[in-house]
Amino acid sequence: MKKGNIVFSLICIVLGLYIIIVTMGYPKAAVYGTGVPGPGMWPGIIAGCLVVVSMVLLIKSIRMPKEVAEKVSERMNGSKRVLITMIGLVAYVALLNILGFIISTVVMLFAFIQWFSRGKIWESMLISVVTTLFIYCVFRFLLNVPVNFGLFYF
Amino acid sequence: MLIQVLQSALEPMVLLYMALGVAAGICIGALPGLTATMGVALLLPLTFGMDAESGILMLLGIYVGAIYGGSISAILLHTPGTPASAATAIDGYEFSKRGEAGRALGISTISSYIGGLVSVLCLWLISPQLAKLALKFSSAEFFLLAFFGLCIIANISGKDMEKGLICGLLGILVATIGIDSVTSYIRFSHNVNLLSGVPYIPVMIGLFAMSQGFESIETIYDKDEVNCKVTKILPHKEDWKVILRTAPITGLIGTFIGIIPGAGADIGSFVGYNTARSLSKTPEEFGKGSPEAVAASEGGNNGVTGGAMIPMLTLGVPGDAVAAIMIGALTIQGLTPGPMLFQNNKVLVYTIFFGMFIANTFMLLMGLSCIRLFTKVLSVPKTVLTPIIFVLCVIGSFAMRNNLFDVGVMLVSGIVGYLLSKIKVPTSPAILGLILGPMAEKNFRTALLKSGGSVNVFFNTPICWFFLILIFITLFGKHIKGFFLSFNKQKG
Repeated sequence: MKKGNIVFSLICIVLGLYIIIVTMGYPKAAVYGTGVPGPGMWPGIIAGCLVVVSMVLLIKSIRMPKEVAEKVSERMNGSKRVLITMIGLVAYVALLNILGFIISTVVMLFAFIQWFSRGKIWESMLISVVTTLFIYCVFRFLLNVPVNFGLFYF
Repeated sequence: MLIQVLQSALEPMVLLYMALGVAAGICIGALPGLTATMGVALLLPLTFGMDAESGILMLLGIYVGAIYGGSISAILLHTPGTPASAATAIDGYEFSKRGEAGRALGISTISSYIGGLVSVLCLWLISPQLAKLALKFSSAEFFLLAFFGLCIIANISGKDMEKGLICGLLGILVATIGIDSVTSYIRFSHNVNLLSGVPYIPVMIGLFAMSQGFESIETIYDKDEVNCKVTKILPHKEDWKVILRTAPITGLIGTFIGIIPGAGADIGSFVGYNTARSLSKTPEEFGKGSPEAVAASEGGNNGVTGGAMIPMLTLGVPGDAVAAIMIGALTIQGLTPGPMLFQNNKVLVYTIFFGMFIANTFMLLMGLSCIRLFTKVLSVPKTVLTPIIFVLCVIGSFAMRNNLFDVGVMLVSGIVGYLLSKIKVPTSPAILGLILGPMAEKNFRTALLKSGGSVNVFFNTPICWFFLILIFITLFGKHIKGFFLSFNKQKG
């Protein structure tokens, strides 16, 4: 947590400073001649607040007592699983536009279900195909969502 | 108007959607790891093709059902299905250990219903008056209202106040991306998909549904098994007395907590639980399987459901994360939540009120008659459910604008939401910031535009002063209390 807090607050400080610099380049109130603050003022103020609060968090986190190293290997396994899932989902979303909804979804569902449940292949395949077709039909025909993208238009 | 309201709320299709919503909500709530917010976010895309009444009432059905459904796993597994039932798990599971799971589920069902009814009644009584008052609001008052809502982030973030604040500020900043509504200047990104701002429904689906999916991947092999039989659900005479004494009070408390922007059913449930303990003749029984405790927490969390709708419908300020998604649902239907909704869409507003009453009744009937069926949901394997949730997140975020870019936004939000949850950063403040940020900015600048740049406009009316005092109390209340306590100690 301590490390995570420090990294998080540092990212927010950098982000806040970046936004302040960007917004300083935006047109000022005088340009519009209405006396109303320009487009940069609001995000600038919020970014300023972000920097201040992040600094408070940073100082508090540095003062936190050192953490005992965690030995939980199951948690590590869980985090690894999440990371692989995230990569898989990014690939799935990238494939959606190429292979279309049905093919990419069946592949994604089959891969995940088979990986997680380690059951019979035909069972995972059946669940993937039926679920995909059900979701496709509900959205395509019942809700009129044009899920017809990709090379094959389905 | 009454006939029109009855006609639209009792239309067979509306009733069917509502019943489906309640059933789906109970199932979602019962499954540990799936929250009410996730359920509403995940099923929101189904309402895009519906008319406003059906869509909103189905979502409300899901909300009401899920908040109640959380108690099923809380009682049977000691794992709250939603955070709203965390307090129920403390005493509810003790009933299961004694082999009285059915009794606890019965108390929870009736108390949830009573809590829900009290909140609907308050919604019915308070909302029109608040909307009338809000009609008198000018930009300055709306700015201060939104600012007050944003200040509350600090108070509801509890121990991790800085983290909650940072998350809220990030939400406000994300909302500034795109064309500035006052000057039409393009801020931060020239991407054509972001010109009208970051689409916040995909952000919500990502933050609340996708990130939870990632979390359940971590514990995908954990198995929850129901070890006791569910019998004798109808409460007996003694329990009825306890329920009728406790649930209306905690329902009322829950309603008022629901009205506070950002405070959700989890807080309602705990405050209800603690209040009931302090009012109880047998506070020592709390934690050991007390019927009073179950009634209190369930009355409290379902009380929040109606309360959260009050500021959402009347002021456009979400009472909790689910109400924030409801704002999205109303916007998609071409409706703007706020006082004008009560002027232009009176029938819809009262249909929502009446529909909430029906949704609660469905919840009661389903809870009492099909509870054994709902407990079966607990045996659905996470290994299959989680990947399906991912697909629903993807297609749901695509469906809003039929745009694959939104799917990317959802995925990024999901990953960010998961990473934030790892370092215990609450994500609800981001949504509050995302919705209240633009409202605060627009009204702030409009007020200044009207006043020719003079800040006096924020101090002109009694309503302004009312909000200023509220803001002051919200920001500095704790410090003032601390100061007086230390002063008294010194004196003593």
